[in-house]
Amino acid sequence: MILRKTVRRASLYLGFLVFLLIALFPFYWMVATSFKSPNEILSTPPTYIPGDLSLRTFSELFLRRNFGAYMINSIVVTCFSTVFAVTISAFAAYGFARFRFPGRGLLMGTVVISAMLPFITVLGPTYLIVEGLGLLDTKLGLILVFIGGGIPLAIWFLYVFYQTIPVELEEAAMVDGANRIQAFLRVTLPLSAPGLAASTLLLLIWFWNEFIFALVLTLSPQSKTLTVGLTEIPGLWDIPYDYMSAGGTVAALPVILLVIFFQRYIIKGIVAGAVKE
Amino acid sequence: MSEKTGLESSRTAKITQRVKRLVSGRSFLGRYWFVYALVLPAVLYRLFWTLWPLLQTTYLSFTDSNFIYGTSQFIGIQNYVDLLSDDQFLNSISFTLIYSASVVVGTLVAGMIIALLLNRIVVGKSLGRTVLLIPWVIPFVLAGIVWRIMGSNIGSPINDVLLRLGVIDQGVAWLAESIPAQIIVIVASIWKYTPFAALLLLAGLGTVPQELLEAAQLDGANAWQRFRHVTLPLITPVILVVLVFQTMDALRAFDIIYGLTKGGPGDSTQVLSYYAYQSMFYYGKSGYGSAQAIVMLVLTIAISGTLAALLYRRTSTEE
Repeated sequence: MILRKTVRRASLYLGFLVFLLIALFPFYWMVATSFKSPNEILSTPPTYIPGDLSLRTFSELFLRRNFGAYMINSIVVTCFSTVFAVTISAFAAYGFARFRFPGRGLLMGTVVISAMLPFITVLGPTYLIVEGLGLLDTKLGLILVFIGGGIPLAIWFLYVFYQTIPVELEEAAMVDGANRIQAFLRVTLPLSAPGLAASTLLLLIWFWNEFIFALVLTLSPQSKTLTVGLTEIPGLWDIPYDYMSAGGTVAALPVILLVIFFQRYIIKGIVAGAVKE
Repeated sequence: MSEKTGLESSRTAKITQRVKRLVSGRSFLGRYWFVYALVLPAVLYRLFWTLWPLLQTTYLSFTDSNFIYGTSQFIGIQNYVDLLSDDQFLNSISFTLIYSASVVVGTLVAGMIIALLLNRIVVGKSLGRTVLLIPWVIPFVLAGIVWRIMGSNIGSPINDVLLRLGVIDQGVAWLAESIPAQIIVIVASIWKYTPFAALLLLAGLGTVPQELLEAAQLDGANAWQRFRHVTLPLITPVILVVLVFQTMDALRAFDIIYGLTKGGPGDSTQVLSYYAYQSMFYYGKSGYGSAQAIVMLVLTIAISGTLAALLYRRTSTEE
């Protein structure tokens, strides 16, 4: 009996180890490859621990391949898009969660359904609109498009979140002489900080990772983001695995840090946003 | 009985409301301006970037519009007729379907196994969750690149492991042959999507009451029976949510394929959104590409709609 239990527990943890290995190895392999010399990359059988820890690929990327510019673009576009998308969505979500008004179901439904639209059905005209505004190959053009992309997710998360805050608190504030706006700013807004934080985190991750719109709307290092720059490392004939790996590591590092520091918020956000339906 | 009174009371409430409005004499705008001011900026902004482009795409799909030459003439359903005899298009549809089905099934199975595992272990649960978030959080296009590095022609760790295990007797050129490339695209996608499924399923498992499982165990149910007859019915709603989300996501996959194979070798890993993208932005044929986008939209609605409806019926009859 005890033996059986031990065997069972051992196999459970063996399974856990296999899972850790499969989940982490591909990523580890990329980081390891970024440190290897070109010769080591081509060695068979491959080396699992890099024999040399040179940072030449990283410095080359930043000094000669515009990665500094890509990184700044990614940071600027991600931060501005997130701030605007969260702000405008916070008001809308509050309206949807607290008021009954004509068209409420229709408007909310349209926003939620619009999130399910395959991106390819809006890609072409989005390009035309941005071109028409004269904003092709600018960070501003990208930000405007990203804000639109982030709205449904942010509205949905915050809507779910506002519903968990009792209306009575606001009503109490209003009885005490606060008007509607004061009640929102002084009572509801501070209470919704965790919801705002979760949706901010999810949008930061999403915008940082966005690829297809950035691919179509940017042309030069003045607006290209990291994800786009990354795909341009492999040339037609030569596939520099070391540079691809280093670029990938640079692109992944910020979001991985977010995940490590804010694990709990992020998991709560993912789960709440999906299961509430 | 109670339903009826509920209806009646809501009706009375409505009437009282209407009377109040009449008495107070406030106009529609006077009553609602505040909430519309809150809601409309975000909603209209969103519609400007979705509904309007969607209408435009629909229109473009009936034209021979070209991004490069800037021409555009109405040609009716010609694009759709052409699609029917376009082998590249038909191939991309069939690969999209194979890809989506494999990825969705693979993700659900892997996600379920991982969720059950993490639900059972005591030590390392939190570590397990953090590790799950790593494939989840990296950009999709980067997941493609990660697996492209994994499947390099020389020095691929996949080959090394498979050779050592005796599964293959010579290295596979993962990205240079059709079938291996299709396999690696699917494996990479499952790797990338599984964490999302696992996290949701894990949350679902957390809601299964421990007493029920213990009661079943006392009645002599083995582990599989407990899973099949207690856990599974209780988490079906979560499974359905995952299924519908994953299906929609897989049908529109693009980034991961761009990073991994760019649709190659040949057209063997070309999915619909990639072909449509290529038609529009590589060959400039925006009319033709738009027609593909519309076909894709219809396909997505048909498939995920059917799934959602089927599953909705199933859950409501089981309860």
